[in-house]
Amino acid sequence: MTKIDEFCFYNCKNLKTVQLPSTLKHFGKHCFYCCDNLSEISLVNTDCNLGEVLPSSFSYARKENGRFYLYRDMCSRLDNLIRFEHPRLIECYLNNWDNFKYIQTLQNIDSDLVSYYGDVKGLSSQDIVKTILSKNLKNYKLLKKQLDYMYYDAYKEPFITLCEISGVFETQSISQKSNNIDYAQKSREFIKEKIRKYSKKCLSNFDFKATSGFKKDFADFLFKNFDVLKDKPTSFIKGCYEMFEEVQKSHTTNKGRCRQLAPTMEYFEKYFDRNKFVNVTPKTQHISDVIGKYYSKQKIFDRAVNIVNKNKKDKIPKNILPDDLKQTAFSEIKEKIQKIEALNKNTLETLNDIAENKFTYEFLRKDDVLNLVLGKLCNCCAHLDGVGDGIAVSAMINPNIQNLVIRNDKNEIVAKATLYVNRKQGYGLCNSFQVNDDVLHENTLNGKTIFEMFKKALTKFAEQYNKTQTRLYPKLKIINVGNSTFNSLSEYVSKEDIAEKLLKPFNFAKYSLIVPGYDGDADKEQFTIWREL
Amino acid sequence: MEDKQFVELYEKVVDEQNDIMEKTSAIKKQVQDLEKQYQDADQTKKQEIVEKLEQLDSVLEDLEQRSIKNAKRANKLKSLK
Repeated sequence: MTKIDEFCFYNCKNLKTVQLPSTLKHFGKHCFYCCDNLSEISLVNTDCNLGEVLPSSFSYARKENGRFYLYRDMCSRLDNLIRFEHPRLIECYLNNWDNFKYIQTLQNIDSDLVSYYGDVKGLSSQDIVKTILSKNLKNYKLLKKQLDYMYYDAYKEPFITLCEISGVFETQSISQKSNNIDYAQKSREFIKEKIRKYSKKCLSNFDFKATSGFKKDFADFLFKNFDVLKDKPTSFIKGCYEMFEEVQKSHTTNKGRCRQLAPTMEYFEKYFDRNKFVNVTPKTQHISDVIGKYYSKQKIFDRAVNIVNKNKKDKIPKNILPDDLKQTAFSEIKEKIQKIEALNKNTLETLNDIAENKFTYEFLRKDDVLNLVLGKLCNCCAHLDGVGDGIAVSAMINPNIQNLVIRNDKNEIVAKATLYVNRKQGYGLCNSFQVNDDVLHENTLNGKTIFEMFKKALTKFAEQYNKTQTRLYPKLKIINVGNSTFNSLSEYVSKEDIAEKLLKPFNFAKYSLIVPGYDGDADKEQFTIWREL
Repeated sequence: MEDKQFVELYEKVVDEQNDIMEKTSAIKKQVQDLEKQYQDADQTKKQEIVEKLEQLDSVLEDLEQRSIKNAKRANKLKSLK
C-alpha cells in the first residue's frame, strides 16, 4: 500500500488503532476524519510528508476520555505542524518535549494539558504551564520567545527564567501591550537586574547544570515560592540555597533515606528561626533552641556552648541529690491528659478501622429467593408485599438488573441497592441505597462505611463489566444513583457529583402487581457514583 | 480467629477504651477546678492543692500505661483480622 485516499476512513467509528506500513507515500486529506474511537497510530519509517496533511486528517479524531497518541517517530516528522488546530494533537506533540520550542499558539492549550508534561530539564513543567495559563498571555509571539528562553536557558539560569515566567515584570512599567519583539529580552534583563540587586553572590552561586537531585528540587522550590521569596532578605534566599540539602533531609522522614521531599517555605522559616547561629550541630541544637529565643548574637551562643561543654567534660552531676526533686505542675498534668487523649483517639481510630471491615458486599445471585424479601431486611418497600415489589421482582427476572447487598460481620444483609445496567447505552443506575435502620442507629459511623462499601462494589462491578464486555455493546461509562428522600444514605450521596444529565430510569413498575405506578427513586435527582476515568 | 472470639475481644477493647476516657475526663475536670481554686487560695490551701495534683498525676500515669496497652491490643486485633 502506498496511498491512503481522501476521506478513506471517514466516520469509521469502530476504528481503534492503525498501523501504517512503511511503503506509504501519500496521506489523503481528512482520511481519519470523524474517527471518534481512534486512539493509537503507529507509523514506521515512512517517507510521506505528513506535516501539511495531518491536522486536517485527524480533525475530530478523538477518543472520548482517552488520549490521542502518536509515536515518537511520527512526532519527529511533525515539525511543520506548528500551527496546531487540534488540541489533542498539541498534546501528543508536546508530549515529546524536544518539540516544545515550536509552540506558536496558546489558545488551544487547555488545563487538561498540564497533566501531560513530565519534568523539563530541571524545572517543573507543570508549574510553568500553570503559570503561563494563569497569566493569560494572549500574545503568543511573546510566549514563544519566553519558552525559547526557557528551553535554552533552563540549564543555565532557571532562576531568572522562573522569575520571567512567573510574571514579575508584568507589574512593572514596561507596556504589556507592546508587540515589540524585544519585549521578552528587555523584561528578562530587567528581572536579571532585579535579582542581582538581591544578591550578586547568590546568583553566581547557582549551578543548575544538574538535571536531577537537589538542584532541581531547589529550582522547584524557588519557582513555587517566588512571590514570597522576592520580599525576603537576601540572606534568606542565600540561606535557602546553602541549607537546602540539609533542610530537605530534616524535612524528610528517616533522615533523607526515604523519598526526598522538597521543603516548604514554612519549614525554612522554622528552620532559620531555630538556626540563628552558625555552627549549630545536632549536639548543640538544644542550646540554640533555648538561647535563640532571647539572643541573636553569635558570641553569646558560642559562650553557651563552651559552658555546656565544660559541664559535660567535668562530668558534673545532674543534681545535688541523687534524684530529681520537683512538684507536679498544672501544665505537666495537662500534658499528660492530652497524651492520654491522643492515645485514646489513636486506639479509637484503629477500632473504627476494624469496625469498617465488618461489612462485605455481594452482588446477590439472581436465582436467590432472598431477592424477594430484601425490603424486609433493609427497611424499604422492595419486597413482595411492598410498594416496590416491581423492583424486587425485576432483580430476579430481568437480565440487566441485579441486587447489590451489604452484609455485616454476622453475615446478615443490612443494606441493598438495585443496579440496572443499560447495556446498549453503557450506563448503570442504582435505584437508591437502602440501609437497615438498626444498623444506622447502632453506630453513626456505619452509614458512611456502608456508603463507601457501595461505592467500592460499584467501582469493582464497572471494572469487571468493562473487562468482560463483548464487542456488541459499549463499555460502562457512568453509574448513577437515585437520591430521593427514601435513600437511607442521602446525606452521603448528595456530596457526590450531581449527574449532568438525567438518564431515563428503567421502568420497574411494569413488574409490579401491587402499585403499578411506582418506579423507584431514580427518576428524581441522581448523583454520579462511578465514572470512567 | 473465630468471629465470635473476635467480637468478644473487640468489645473488651472498646470497654477498656471507654473506661480510660471516662476517668481521664473526670481528672480533667478536677484539674480545672483545682486551677480555679489555686488562684484564690492561701498558702496552706495551695500546698494542699499541689499535693492533690500529685495524686492525680500518679492516677494519670496508670491511665497512660493502660491506654498504651490498649492501643497495642487494638493494633494486634487489626493485624489478626
